[in-house]
Amino acid sequence: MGRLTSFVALFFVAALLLSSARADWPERPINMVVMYAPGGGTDIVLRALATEMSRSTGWVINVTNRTGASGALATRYVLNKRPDGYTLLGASNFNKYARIVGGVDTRPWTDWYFMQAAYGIGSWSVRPDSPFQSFQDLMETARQESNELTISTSGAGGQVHEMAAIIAQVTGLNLKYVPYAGGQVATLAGLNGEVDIAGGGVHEHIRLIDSGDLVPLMQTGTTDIVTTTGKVIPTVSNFVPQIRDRLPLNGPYTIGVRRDTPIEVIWAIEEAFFTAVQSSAFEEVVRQRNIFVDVMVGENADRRAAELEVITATIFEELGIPGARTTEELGLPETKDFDRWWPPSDYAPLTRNP
Amino acid sequence: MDDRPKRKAKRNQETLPGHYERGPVVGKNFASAVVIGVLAMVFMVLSLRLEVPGSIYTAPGMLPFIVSLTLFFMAVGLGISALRQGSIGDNLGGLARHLKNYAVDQEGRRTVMLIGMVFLYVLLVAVLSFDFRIPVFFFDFEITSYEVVSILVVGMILRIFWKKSLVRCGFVSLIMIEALVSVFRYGFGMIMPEAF
Amino acid sequence: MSAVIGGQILEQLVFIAQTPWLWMICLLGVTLGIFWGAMPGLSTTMAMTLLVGLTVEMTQAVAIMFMLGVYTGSVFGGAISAVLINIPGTPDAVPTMIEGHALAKKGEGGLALGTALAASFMGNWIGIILLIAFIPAVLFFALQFRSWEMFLLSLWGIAICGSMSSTDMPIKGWISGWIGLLVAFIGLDPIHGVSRFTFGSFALGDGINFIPVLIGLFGLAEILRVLPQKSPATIPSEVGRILPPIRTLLRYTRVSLRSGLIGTVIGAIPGAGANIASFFSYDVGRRRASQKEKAKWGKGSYEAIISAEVANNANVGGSMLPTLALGIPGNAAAAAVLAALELKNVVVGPLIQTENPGLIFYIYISLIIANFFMYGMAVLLIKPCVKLFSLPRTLLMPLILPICVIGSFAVNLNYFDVYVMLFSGIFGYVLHRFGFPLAPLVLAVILGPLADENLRRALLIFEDAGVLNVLWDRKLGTILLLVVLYTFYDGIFKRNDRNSNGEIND
Repeated sequence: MGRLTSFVALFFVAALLLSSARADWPERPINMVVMYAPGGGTDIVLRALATEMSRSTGWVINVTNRTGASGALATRYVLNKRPDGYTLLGASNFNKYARIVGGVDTRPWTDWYFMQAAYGIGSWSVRPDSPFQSFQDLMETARQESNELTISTSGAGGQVHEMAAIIAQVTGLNLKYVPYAGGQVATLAGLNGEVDIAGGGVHEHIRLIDSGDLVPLMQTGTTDIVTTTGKVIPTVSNFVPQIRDRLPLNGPYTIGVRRDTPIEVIWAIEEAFFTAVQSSAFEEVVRQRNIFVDVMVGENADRRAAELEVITATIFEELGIPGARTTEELGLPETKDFDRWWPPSDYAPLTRNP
Repeated sequence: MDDRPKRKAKRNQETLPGHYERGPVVGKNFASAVVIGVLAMVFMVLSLRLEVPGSIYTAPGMLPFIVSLTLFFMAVGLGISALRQGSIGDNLGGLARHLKNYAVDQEGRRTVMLIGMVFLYVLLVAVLSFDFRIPVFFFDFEITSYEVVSILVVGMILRIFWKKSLVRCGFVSLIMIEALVSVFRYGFGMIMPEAF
Repeated sequence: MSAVIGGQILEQLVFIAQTPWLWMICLLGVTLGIFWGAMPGLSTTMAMTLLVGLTVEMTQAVAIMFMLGVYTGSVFGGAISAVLINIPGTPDAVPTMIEGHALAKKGEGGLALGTALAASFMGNWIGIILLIAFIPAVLFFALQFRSWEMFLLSLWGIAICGSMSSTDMPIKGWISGWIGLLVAFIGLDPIHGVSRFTFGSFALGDGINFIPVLIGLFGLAEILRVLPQKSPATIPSEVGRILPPIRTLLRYTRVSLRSGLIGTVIGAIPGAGANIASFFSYDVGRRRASQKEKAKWGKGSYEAIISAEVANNANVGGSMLPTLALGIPGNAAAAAVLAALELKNVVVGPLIQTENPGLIFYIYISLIIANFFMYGMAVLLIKPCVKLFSLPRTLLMPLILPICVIGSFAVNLNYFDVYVMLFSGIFGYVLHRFGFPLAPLVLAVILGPLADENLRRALLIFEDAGVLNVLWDRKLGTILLLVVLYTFYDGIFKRNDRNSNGEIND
């Protein structure tokens, strides 16, 4: 036993000495932890991003998925790692749900540095044999019958739920939110007729719309979308003009680095990020799915992260989602007070020249 | 598929998952019935205490309550059948005898020791966390706490149960674990187990 | 139109025939898959998820070939460790373990594996043929499974628990299953997000994953059971005949067709995977078997192995069906295939044939090639595997321990799952000692969340509809409900009668 231990100890001393010789960052593979399952929208966009980042820099970036608790498990994992830039968080929505419903205590704009690459927008569709074939029909039907309409969501307190709640709030629609495990299954529920309206993202509906399996009601972008087969998916503002200034209701795809990472590492990552989002290969992956490249970093991204969290916390409070923390508990203002509140006193932007 | 000449059914029985010896089974069933009955009651209470955000149909505690209620009845059923085969005294006696046998039996003691070692293994991997990288020519040789702990613990278990020399056990453990870890790490880009 | 399709098929065939590189890749994938599947605790899903990252650098053709090879191989691979060391390599190999290991102890491990292999081969064929020829029919049927039907399907699975008990008391099987259900309820509830039985623990909030439970109950518990024995029995190392004679196989034609259909349809229902398929087919097989065969069930029945193995391999084709037709994966492994294709910029879904003409045929052909390679490779591997696993258990078992830890951790890169594995292992050891079967527990942990989530979602939707309306409108559901009720009735009353006659007693 003794011989073995001394051998091991010797080995470590040697290893320690050798590993202390630092080269340029990164000297080992980077791990991107995506908070949703493989094959979903977030996973595909962020994997494509990681591929392009490694292609332009030669870095090795391994993408792993760590799902659960509205992203809180992935967040905790990255938080428990050293802030050396070797572990990146693959998130959507600047990770806003993790703090509100997931119970993690990090603020996206003071504890993380998030970079937004692209965003997807929400979509409502119905079966071809549905009693309503357009958003107007839907509003008519809802006015005449007092019955609640059922809509599928990607999960209680998730993005599809939130978007639908905002639309219901503005239009006065009476909706019953039926939660499913993810956007794909929510789409399926609309397809097999379990719910009146299939909720989801445009990227999840568009092929089924093109093939005639689904009929589009509206999407939450600012302008109409014309598909490759010439079908039009109208923006919701065509029917509800007063919602216009809240559009696009979107789900940004973001990667996060811990803010206490050495500043030159953050800039190195940001540089690789810029090259990747501008590459034609990334553009192609995103465009094919009707997801829009929209790069946002720095102070803008921080402000956006805070704003999204405020909006979500406010609406979840109004909906009474169990387990969701209120704006007060989070130390946030309500949506209407956001402009006056930002920037909070404990916020400091990351700048290249400190 | 031709049927081979069957050995005695009694022999086969040992190969099945869920086999048990006939002797002390009465005590075992009675004890399980009591433990499971109590467990079911606890879960019934817990289910009733869950909040009901929507209507009663979608109450989070509904199905758990039904399940724990039926589990309770099943435990009662198991208890009754145990009591049919012997009185409470017989049952308790049977259980005590079995526990005593287990404690005296060498296999029982070895099992307890093995459980302790597995515990130790899992805890060590959780507590220790390091990750060394040694550049060897063109590639980084990596050593994590997981493999070091694994090599030591598995080597130790081999030494005790396989009963070969320490060098041989250590060697087998080293080679096998390094092979395993390499496939995962370099082949699949996987992270080795660690508590964070 | 058909000429165009014929042209596309021919084009793909020529392409594959001219690219021997692809054959090599497929062979590599299948071999890797078999080994992966044979490792206790490393599931098919895990292999596929890890592969998504690896395929980034491959071309589209290579990536598809490789992934489908691994998928096909690993579903069979699970049978190897199940039969030879009584630890299922993948969750769907649990029925194969119950039957096959009993045979292996008698020295028929080679033949049991050969039968499993022949069954897997047939299962793949059935799945592929149904995938190619009956997409609309199977899809139509699969789309009838909404929340209510999914609930009944899972309830049916739970009802099987009683019959999975090999002791003379079915009630112990039920109890084991019911404990599994309670475990499955732990975590945030999927409808309202209320935390259940988490006792304020953050880690428990996400629920208990069934993979670490499986690894604990069958992997760790088996180590704890076998290693301390004075002289642990090993399986005989001499291998007799491996492949069963064709004549014998032909006798099982009906069993195979039935199991294949069950496997494919369950695979096509999003949310239900290979594990459910093999458990179902195993149970249906037992009910349909002749009296003589029924008596062998649980003690080493070849018919039982065929029922389970045809179903879980037919599931591969089935799970690809909604994936390719709708872009909605049939199970987690198919989701990984989808992710890999998406990264190659193929948008999988109803338009795949217009956007990527011929690709779908390439996928079909890849599945067929993978099936042949799986067969060939496995024939070569069975003998060495039997030899390998007939090494002393005292050497094998300690080496399985680190795999159990890696397997549990890798599910979600979460060390909490390793604790779950540890606890399940000790708990499983104790349950086993007290004469409770473990298979129902695993089945219930898999099915519990499905049953709960779907029941409550169905009730949320039905809130304003009358009971009679529901029963009348959802005819498939009503049929399933009757089946479930019959299964419970049969399990509770009939089974006891039989026991009193001593027919099923061990």
